Amino acid sequence: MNQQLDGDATDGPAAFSRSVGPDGVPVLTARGEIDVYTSPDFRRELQTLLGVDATRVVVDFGAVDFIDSSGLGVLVGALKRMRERGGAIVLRAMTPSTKKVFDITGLTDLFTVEP
Amino acid sequence: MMTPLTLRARLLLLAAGFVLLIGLGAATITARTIERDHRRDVESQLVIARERVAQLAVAHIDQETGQRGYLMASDPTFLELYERTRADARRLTSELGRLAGTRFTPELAAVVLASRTWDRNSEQTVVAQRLGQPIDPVAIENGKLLFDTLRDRVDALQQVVDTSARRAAEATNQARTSINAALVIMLTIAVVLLAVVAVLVRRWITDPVSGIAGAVRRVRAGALDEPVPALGPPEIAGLARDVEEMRIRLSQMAIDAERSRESIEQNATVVLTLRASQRPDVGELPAGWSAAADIRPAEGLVAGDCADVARLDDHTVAVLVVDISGHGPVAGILALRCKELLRSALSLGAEPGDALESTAGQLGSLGDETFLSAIAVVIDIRDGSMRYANAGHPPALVCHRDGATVPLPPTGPIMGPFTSTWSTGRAVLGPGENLAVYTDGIIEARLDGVMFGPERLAELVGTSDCEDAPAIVERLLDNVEAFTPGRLQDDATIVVICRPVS
Repeated sequence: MNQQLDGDATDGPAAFSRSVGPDGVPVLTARGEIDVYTSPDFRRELQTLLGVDATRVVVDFGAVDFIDSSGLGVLVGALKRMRERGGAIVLRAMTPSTKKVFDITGLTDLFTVEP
Repeated sequence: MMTPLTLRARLLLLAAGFVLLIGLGAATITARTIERDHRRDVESQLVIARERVAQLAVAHIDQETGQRGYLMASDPTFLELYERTRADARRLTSELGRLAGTRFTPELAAVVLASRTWDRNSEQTVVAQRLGQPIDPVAIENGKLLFDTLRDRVDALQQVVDTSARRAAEATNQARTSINAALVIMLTIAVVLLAVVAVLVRRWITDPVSGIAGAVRRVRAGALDEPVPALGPPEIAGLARDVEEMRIRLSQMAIDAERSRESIEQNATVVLTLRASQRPDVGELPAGWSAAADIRPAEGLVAGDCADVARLDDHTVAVLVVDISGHGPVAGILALRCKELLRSALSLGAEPGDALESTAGQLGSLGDETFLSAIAVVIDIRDGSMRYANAGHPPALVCHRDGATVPLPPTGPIMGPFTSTWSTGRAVLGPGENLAVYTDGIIEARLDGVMFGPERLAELVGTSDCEDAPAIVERLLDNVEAFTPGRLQDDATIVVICRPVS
């Protein structure tokens, strides 16, 4: 059971919630559509999760219906920060349609993908 | 310095003063009315008493006449007069006793005493006469003296009652006059008070509001430099200060808007020039080939997409499409740079994959979250063979004449975040087939969570007249815009090139 943290963002067509997994790794669970309108929330939540010293974070895409280039940009920016500190971002439970976007853009090879 | 009273406090004080004055006036008039009624009651009692005293005097005289007549003539008629008037005198005396109160008690008591003394004397003589006994002349003489005494007492009572009645009438008149005076004073005070209220309302409300309204009207008419004065009591002055702050903000916003307009005017030329440069350039094509390209930006005039169909040499045509993650002028300039670098590299004979790598190297870092996808297809017009490279871009579609489509998938990742390489793929564009290269703004156009999708794109391109590229492009973009009424969520770009059947 994950431990719920403060700072849920639930307005609009996308919702984000932060938690800590059983292994102590921070998890950002995203829901809905991540596009140009919801990317600012996605960026804020992800940056909060990354903090200053996290070396591994999980983004749960199980309930994400759609992600566009602005959402991918947020992930790319976060990955750059993590790589600078030798960390990694894990993309978990991507739906086939979301994974197709990552496959086409070639980002699947840059992130750690978990089922 | 004293804080000025609020309008609410002033109106409350005014109302309190008004109520106090009205209350005092009403209390005064009520008290005077009660006093007048009392005096009128007293007066009416004294008038009755005066009549009764007069009747008493007459009754005594008639009683004395009846007594003397009976003694002299033994006529029962006189005896009857005596008895009747004697009873009248007793009744009148009793009634006067009730009316006397404390006003003429001593005088009435003197009358009663004299009346009883004379009555006893006269009664003795009448009884003796009825019994046929001799009447004592001394008693008769005493009776006359006693009757004179009674008449004197009645006269004294009459004078006292008359005097009291006259004074009571005067007091009633005074009370009435006092009430009238109080009413006049009240009316005068009310008129003065109304005049004071009118003056104060004008000074507290009408004049300040008029002054503020005049200034606001001048501001509304465009005089944004006209200050709105803070006039009147605190509430109205506060409202005026709020309006003044609003005017200052509006004035500042007008200045900012003017600066923005000037800036837009200065930048408009740049934006229009950029948009003109971005417009897909379809160069001269070999006979029978048809190509078209169009961009529908998601916001403003400048898209983050760029597209070209360029003739590289006598035998080759290049199709280039670039999509920056973002929209607007900055993304547009970056897309234009990328396209020109790609075109330059391909013109120098580079393989498409190498051209992407060369372009990525020259573009350098794009920023933390900025990346681009691009596709470059080089077509040999002699046999339709194609070499292509796809940097994380949605697969271009080769549409066969039977409606089937073959994708040209990515040959490397998106460009920008990290150092990458791209390979060059190969495909063939057969006679009568067309190639559709597009950006994700086409297939990801969505309404209520439903995307336009690659299937609709493939169906529209595959079922179109394969030799009329402009018609295919227009039909496709019209369908996309109809699918998402209102604004597109992302820039939508499509390039179609058709190889003739023969």
